[in-house]
Amino acid sequence: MPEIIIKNATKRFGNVVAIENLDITIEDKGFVTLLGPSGCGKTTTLRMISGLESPTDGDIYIDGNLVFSASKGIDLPPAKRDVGFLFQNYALWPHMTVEKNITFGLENLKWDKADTRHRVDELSDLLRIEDMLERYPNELSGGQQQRVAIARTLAPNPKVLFMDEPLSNLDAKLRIEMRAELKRLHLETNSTFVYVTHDQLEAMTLSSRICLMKEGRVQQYAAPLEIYNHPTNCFCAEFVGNPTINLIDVACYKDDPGDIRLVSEDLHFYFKPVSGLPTLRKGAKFLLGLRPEHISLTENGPINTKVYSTLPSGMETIVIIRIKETYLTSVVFGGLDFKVDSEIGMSLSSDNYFLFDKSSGSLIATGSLSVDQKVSGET
Amino acid sequence: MVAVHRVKTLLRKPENVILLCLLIILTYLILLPLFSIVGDTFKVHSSELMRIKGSETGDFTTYHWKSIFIGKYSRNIFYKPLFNTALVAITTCFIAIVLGGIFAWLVTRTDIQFKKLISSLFILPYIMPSWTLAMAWLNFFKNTYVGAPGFFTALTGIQTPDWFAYGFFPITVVLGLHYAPFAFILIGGILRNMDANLEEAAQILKAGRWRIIRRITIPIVLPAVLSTILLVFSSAMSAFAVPAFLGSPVRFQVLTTQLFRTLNGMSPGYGFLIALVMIVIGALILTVNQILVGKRKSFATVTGKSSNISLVNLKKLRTPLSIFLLVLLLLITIVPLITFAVESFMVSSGNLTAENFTTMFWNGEGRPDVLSGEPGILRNKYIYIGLWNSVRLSVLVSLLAGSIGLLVGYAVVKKRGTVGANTLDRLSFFPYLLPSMAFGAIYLSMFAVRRGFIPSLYGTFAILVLIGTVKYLPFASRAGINAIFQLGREIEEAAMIFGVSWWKRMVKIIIPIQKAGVLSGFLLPFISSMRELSLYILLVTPSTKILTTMLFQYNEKGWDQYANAIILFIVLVVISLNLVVNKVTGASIDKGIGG
Repeated sequence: MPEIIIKNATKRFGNVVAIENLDITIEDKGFVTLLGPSGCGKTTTLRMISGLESPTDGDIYIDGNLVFSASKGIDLPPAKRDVGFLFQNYALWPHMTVEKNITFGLENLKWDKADTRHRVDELSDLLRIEDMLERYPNELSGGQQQRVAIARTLAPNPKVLFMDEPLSNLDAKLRIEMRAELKRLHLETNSTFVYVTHDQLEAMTLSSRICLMKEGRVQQYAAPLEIYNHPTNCFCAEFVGNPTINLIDVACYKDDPGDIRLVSEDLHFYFKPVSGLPTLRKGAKFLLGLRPEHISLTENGPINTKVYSTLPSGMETIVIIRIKETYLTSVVFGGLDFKVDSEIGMSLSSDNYFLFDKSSGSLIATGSLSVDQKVSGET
Repeated sequence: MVAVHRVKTLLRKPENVILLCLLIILTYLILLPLFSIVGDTFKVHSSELMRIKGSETGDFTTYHWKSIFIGKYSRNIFYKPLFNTALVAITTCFIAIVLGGIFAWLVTRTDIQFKKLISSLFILPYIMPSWTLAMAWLNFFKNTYVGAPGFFTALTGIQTPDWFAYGFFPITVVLGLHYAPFAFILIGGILRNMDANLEEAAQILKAGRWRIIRRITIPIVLPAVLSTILLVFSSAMSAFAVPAFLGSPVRFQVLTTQLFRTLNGMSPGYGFLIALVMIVIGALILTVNQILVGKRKSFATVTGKSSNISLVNLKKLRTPLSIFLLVLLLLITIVPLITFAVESFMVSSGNLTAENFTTMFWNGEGRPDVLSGEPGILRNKYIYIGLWNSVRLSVLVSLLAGSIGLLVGYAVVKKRGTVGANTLDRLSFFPYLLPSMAFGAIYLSMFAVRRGFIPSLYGTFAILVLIGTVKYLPFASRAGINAIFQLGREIEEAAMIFGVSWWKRMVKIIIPIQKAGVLSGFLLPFISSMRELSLYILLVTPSTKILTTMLFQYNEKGWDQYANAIILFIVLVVISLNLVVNKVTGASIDKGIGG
């Protein structure tokens, strides 16, 4: 079973550490996304697993075989790892026709003519490129090139398929279409996909698991909704989710476990932990994380706010509300419009608000919130 | 153990192996000779035994350093030529910049006519070997001081004064004309690519036209001008053929001619020291230039589309000026070629009567009373040997430099950012900084004796191939780096995934896709080698003569007809090949890195 195990992989470019002690296991037939801001090491990780880049240290297993080991001096070339790689810019060979692009690799792998022919038919059917086989890459649209690149990558039936931001060169509409196709392809080919992207929405919608990275280190490796609902730290909470989570700087004002009070510049909160056992110190600094959909707008109260700006997009409306100098983003379902500067109520009815340690960023507890408007003062 | 594994893993990748091999080879061929030449300046050479009393060949001595810098004759041996060199180089810069700058401005910013034709004609003197114009100058203006008069005297009866016919004045004019295209290309390039918005933004802010030129245009062009000045200066400093042709009749010596004299004469120690001085100056200048070029990039002037710059209206001047420029350009480009052809049919130059014309210098069997009975060019076996040597040399140089350049490009781009790649990048560019003749002197010093497993190469054809390859590697490696860089790594990696071997990746993927760029890496060294004189002249021996060195010898002997015939041939080959390169690849020697 093509399970990929990466143990303690480190990659340095000169003095720059690109990846530090990476330890992940990618389960068989998974669709794992490496997600993170640019420069976080996700592409390097992908290239290390595929064999295009050699780690400075560590071990990599694919399907039980040790394909890289710094200590044992093993470094199998990509071809011997039985993997496919889909490049961001497709990397189609411009001087070869579509058919030649697909068959060149197979010829090199010593496939016989009949098998090659059969495979080309199969793939051109699967990816709907039958009538383009004689054309050259520069005669194809971006979406068509993309499909040819997929066909070429799938041709030798790789056990594992690596994809490096394959959709980033497509326009918005095509990207959504291809997203659906990739997800189908994953089921039809029955293989393991490892996918790199910086687009959190792509990662959320496609993957079975997301490996969220920052500065060469894994921040969280979990299912998409797990990351969304239980981020391990402030970075994960902020990176995943659109619109972005609201973060409020608070300090602990009262640390009695049964009656935790947190104050920000403008607001005074009661925090009731649901999970996590915070041992809070009075005066310690924290960040309070509120997902936009967990801020409900009401006709009146319990908290009075003002509409600062509103961004209706038809299906949903993003409303930015203001309490003194604190701005919060909220999402309302439906194309509602609010008058700017009108008064509006807000309620915090969820029990999934996050409390992060301000200095380390790590999650301390989740819980429910209420605001003492009287202490906080009038808006 | 881990270290051994690591090295083994590294060496499994072809780019690492190539990088390592090239670093070793180029260190040996470029850096080591530099040490060798320093050593030679402290050594007693066999021809100097008479003067350095009580010494033996190979002894350590400071004699050369003392006599060159503080000795009794240092004024004549060194300081005067140095001064002449500086004077020539500075004046050449001035002429080249003013001429090139004016033409560049006229072509890019005014409504002058025949823009395309003017541009291509203006660049021609740069594509032609620099001594073409020097020979043409002699054909025109030579006076009876050295023998037969030139066309000018023959047609007008006016005797040209010596200062006009030989020495400083014609040298600077010819070099200035030769390097003006360089200024034209660099300054014109900046003017053309400069984002029109930069000037338009100033216009919208109500700045006057002159204020815009003074405060926007000139500051932006300035780094290009400075860098042109430096490159022209160092090129003019290392020019040999032009001062040799035009300066020697009146004993006007510059560093290169002095270097040639001393190395070929009794004082090789002086020669090596002069070469060393030239290398140091050249390297300094070009280092400063690299810094300037780096700064220029930060201006990022080539961002926008400069489609609608409003051109200056020349009004009434437009047609007369256009025609004047065109005639002027024809005079310095096409007319010289005609004089070569005409001269090669004349028994004695300066005599334009019909009976003075003959084809015997082309197909005659040779008459004992004319030029030592040398047979005509088409029947002369030495010419054929020279031609064969020239072609053979240039083909080999082009194949070697081109291939190594491609490998350099591959290794540098694949290992981009590593210390090794940066070192190789600089090392492969380094020969560009070395004045040709000084580089020849270096190789003379390095390979005159056996070095390790390499036997003494002096007098062999191999040393010519070697030096040509190394000298033109900068052209080829720039082309190689560009070609591989443009391709992007994914194209090759897509094939690696399928286990395509390195060789097959090069032959089936990389080279076919980048054939234009790769080809220019082969053709630029070929053209440069075909027209090269000063690089090879110290290293040829009678059996390895090439066309350009024969031309030089014929000229020294005063056999102008042969010299003219050969020059015509070389110029035609170089220009037509340049046209081919231009058509096939879009690259051109004039778009190279100059020199």
